[in-house]
Amino acid sequence: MAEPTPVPEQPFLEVRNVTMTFGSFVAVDNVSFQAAKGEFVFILGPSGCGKTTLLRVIAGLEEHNAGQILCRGRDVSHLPTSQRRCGIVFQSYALFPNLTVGQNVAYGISRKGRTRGQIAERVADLLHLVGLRGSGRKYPAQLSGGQQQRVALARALATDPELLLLDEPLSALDARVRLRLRSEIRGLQKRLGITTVMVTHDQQEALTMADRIVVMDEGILKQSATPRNLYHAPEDTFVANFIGAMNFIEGWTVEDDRHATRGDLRLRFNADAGGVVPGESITLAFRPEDVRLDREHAHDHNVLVGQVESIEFRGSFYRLDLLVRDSRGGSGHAFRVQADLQNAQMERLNINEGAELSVYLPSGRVLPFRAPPPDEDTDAL
Amino acid sequence: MSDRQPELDSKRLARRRVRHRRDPAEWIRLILISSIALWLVSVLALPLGQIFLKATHADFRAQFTAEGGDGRAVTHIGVHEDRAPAQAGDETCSVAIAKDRETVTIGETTLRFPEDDEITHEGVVVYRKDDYVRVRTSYAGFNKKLVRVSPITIEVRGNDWFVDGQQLEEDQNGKSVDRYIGFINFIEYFGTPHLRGSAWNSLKVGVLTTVIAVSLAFLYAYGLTRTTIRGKTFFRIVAMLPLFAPTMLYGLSLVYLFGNKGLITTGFFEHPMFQWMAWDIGLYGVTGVVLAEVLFTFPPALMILTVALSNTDARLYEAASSLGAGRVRTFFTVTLPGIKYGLMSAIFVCFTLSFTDFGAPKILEGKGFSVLAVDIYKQAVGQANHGMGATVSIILLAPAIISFIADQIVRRRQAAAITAQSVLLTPKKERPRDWGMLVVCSAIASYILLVLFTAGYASLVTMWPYDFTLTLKHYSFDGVGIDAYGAYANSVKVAVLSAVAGTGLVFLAAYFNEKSRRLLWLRRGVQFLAMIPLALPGLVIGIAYIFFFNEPAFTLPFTSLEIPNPFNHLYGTIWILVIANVVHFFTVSFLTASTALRQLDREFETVSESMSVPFYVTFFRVTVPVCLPAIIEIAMYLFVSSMATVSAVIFLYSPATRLASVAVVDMADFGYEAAASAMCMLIVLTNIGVRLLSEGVSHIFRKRTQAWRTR
Repeated sequence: MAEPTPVPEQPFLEVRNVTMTFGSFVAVDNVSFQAAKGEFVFILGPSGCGKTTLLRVIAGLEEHNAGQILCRGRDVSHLPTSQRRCGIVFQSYALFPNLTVGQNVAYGISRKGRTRGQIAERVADLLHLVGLRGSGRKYPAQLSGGQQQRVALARALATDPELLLLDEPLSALDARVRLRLRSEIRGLQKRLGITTVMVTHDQQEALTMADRIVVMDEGILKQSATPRNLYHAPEDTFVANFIGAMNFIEGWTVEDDRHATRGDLRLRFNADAGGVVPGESITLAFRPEDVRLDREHAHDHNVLVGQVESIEFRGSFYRLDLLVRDSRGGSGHAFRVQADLQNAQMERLNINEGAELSVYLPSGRVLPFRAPPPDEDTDAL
Repeated sequence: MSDRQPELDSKRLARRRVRHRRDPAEWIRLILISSIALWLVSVLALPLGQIFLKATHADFRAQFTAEGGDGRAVTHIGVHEDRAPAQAGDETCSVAIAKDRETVTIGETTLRFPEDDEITHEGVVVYRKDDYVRVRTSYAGFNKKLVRVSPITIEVRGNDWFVDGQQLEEDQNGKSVDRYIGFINFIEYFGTPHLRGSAWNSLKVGVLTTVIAVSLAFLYAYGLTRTTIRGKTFFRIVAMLPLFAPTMLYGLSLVYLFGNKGLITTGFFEHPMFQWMAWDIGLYGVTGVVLAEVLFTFPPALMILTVALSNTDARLYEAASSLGAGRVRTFFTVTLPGIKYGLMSAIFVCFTLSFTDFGAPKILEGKGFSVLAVDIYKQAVGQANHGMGATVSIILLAPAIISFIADQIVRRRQAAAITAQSVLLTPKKERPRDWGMLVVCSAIASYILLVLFTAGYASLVTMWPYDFTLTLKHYSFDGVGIDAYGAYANSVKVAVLSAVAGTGLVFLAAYFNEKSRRLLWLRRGVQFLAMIPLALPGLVIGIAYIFFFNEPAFTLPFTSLEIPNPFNHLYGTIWILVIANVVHFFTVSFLTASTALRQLDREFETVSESMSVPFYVTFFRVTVPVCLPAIIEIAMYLFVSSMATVSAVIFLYSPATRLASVAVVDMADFGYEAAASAMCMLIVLTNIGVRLLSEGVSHIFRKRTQAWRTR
């Protein structure tokens, strides 16, 4: 499962210990990450986590307090936006309303050494690239949201930027258009091989499109990893909770380097995640879809007994709430586990509320955390 | 996680910035915004400062004369107020030194020098040594009294004279020195009954006008927004007409109606049928001025209240009626709270405008009746008493500044009353209420039209009230002793220049303020300065400019360094009038431009920057075209206001740059009321013409270049 997150040998873009404050508010706190040539990097986090500020620092739109931005090993921290060679697409697209689509795309193309015809040709190519051939004479207001978004993208690409910066470009669109544009942007980015940084609060968007995701919370970088690693091996309860759904069970005591106990319950956890010392109190976490439910005990370890409290139909699967008690009884020691069950399995097991089930947790999927689980209100969107 | 840097002191870190290198374009931006800030400081902050200096300082003249040739010869030294023309009976601090330098006469007292060669008497210290004499006086003559000042030193060494350490030229017999005199002018002002009376009159005019104008404007706005009366467009247009006229026009019209020989006063000129209606309202006084000021303040009050009344959420009324609230209760619990900020703004605006207006009270000046604004004019222009003029200006400024600050605080508290989900109120038909409102609105509109019509009609008849034959002779302005069409041409020229230069400046200032990311303190400074003119009466701008632009050189504070005044040469030219107008009408234009600019996407500038397109390209290709309707609106406002205004420019015109509005005041002063009315009508007609023209231009532009606005 968890492959090592590759560290780019010659990072194309490097953010080194960047700190940015607004008065006494620290928007970005000592953040570092790297991106290889042609990589699609996402900055992901809840609103107000500093992700847009970080993007603006990379673009040179804000003067940060400390740290460096390096592009191809060259320090560009002191360069103004106009000299950083980055194309930017904003959430609002910021298309010039009084100029036609063609004029918008041609806006940044230098007139030096180019004839009128060459510019027109370049504009036509770009519009073709984003799938808007023949719309050059229209005004932005005559286009749909998705089309406007593509014009903004074509305009950002027109200047041959080294770096493409996208600030929540999809958040103003309908859900359906958003899904289609995800794959289009990803495809375009791959084809052009342009290093891209995109800011989003949508974890689905990040997981499906990114080569690498940088997760931020309250200005602090929580984890920088591939989508798979982020999902399967979150280094932090915030990341674990923010991306996908996660069960957090507190009050486990470490027994040895791979086991923890809670009353008479004993679970084997993923030792690779490591770093826990026997005797300390930890939280164990696992995803609902990793929970295996059955009528009978099919395994001899990592098995709990849970009583079904509620069943929720979610379309392609069911989500069950189970109450698990340890031998000590009493409500204080019981805990709830969420488990996902495929429709076919649900039919096979024929589960009703109140049923007692065997709950198997594959040890590789059980992650130990020293920190307590995060507050519920910071839950993923 | 990343290795943390050694913990930096967070405060030090926050102050540190990784500075970006500046683009050439950024330098241009910095230079332009600095120039605008500097311009605002020069034509706004410094002249205002000059008023405070003038009110609390005075020029004194240290003068000496030698007298007689025999043994009784003396040298007289006098220190008195320096004003031109010198007035008889001015007090002076007099020191007379006998030729033999044995005795000194201070005031009436003659004293002999003692052993230590120093005499101190009534604040005067005289010291002698061989051929050297020094007189140091802490008293100087000011306004027929001796007042205490910081010491003025006069020295004689042989034949050389020194005042405050500076040697005089051979042919000089004295020198002016500037001294702080504290609040003597203010004490003087409130100690003079007829001046104090003006303050009281201004206050009465302000309060009465505010109460009447705001009430009428509320009724009118209510009729326009909350009822289904017919002819709303007509009512709207009529209500805005007073904006196009100089305030003298209301004064003139009221004289024709209610003056000594007025239509109403004489009962339709002693017509046998209407004689019983004869009614002398006592026009020349508070009554007349209030009648005029109500007209003057009605349009702005109406604009504010119309906006406030139309921005109400209909759901609140539905909720009130579903909860069973009656009409009166709904009015006090929903309507009034909904418009309370608008109401306060309207009150502030009406009070400030009527408290400081000059035009109408100047025409309606009666025996023993005056207001502050007219006093300033009399003191500064009539009596050349600049100190007192400045003092009255500050008194005039006080309520304006208080209401300005209060208004700013109220604005800050104001939360958005209208959200995206709000439902706009559409009035329903309601017979009795609608009829009532129609009567009220018609009455108000009739009053406005009556006043405008009266002045227009009077300007077209041979001799009111004796000969009502129609004639255009008053429009030839023969025999009034004023080059009236020259003045009119000057007015148009000033209005065009003010509109062109002002629109450019205002729009640039608003653009840099709204659309720059850096230079925060510079932008805040510009914004602060841009709001000040809202509280400044035109008269105060006028008098401040007299002081500021007239001064040949300024002394830097705490030094004796003198720098020549770079603006001095503007005095007496047409440009000082243009500058005064642009500053006078700066705030409203600035707010219009800011509102228009704020509707543009904030990222237009950043996107251009990322494409290495300098800001000025985007400014001309995108910002200006998109804001064109607002730009035309600003230019129109500046033109119309510049045509009609009199208060600032009446201090600043020269014989060659006399304006139409000034000519109105002069013609009315000389008793040529019909000619004055004719000139007012020329101004009104020009303004209406320009308004129509700007509507037309807007329309064409909207059709041609704003194709993108339509889908």
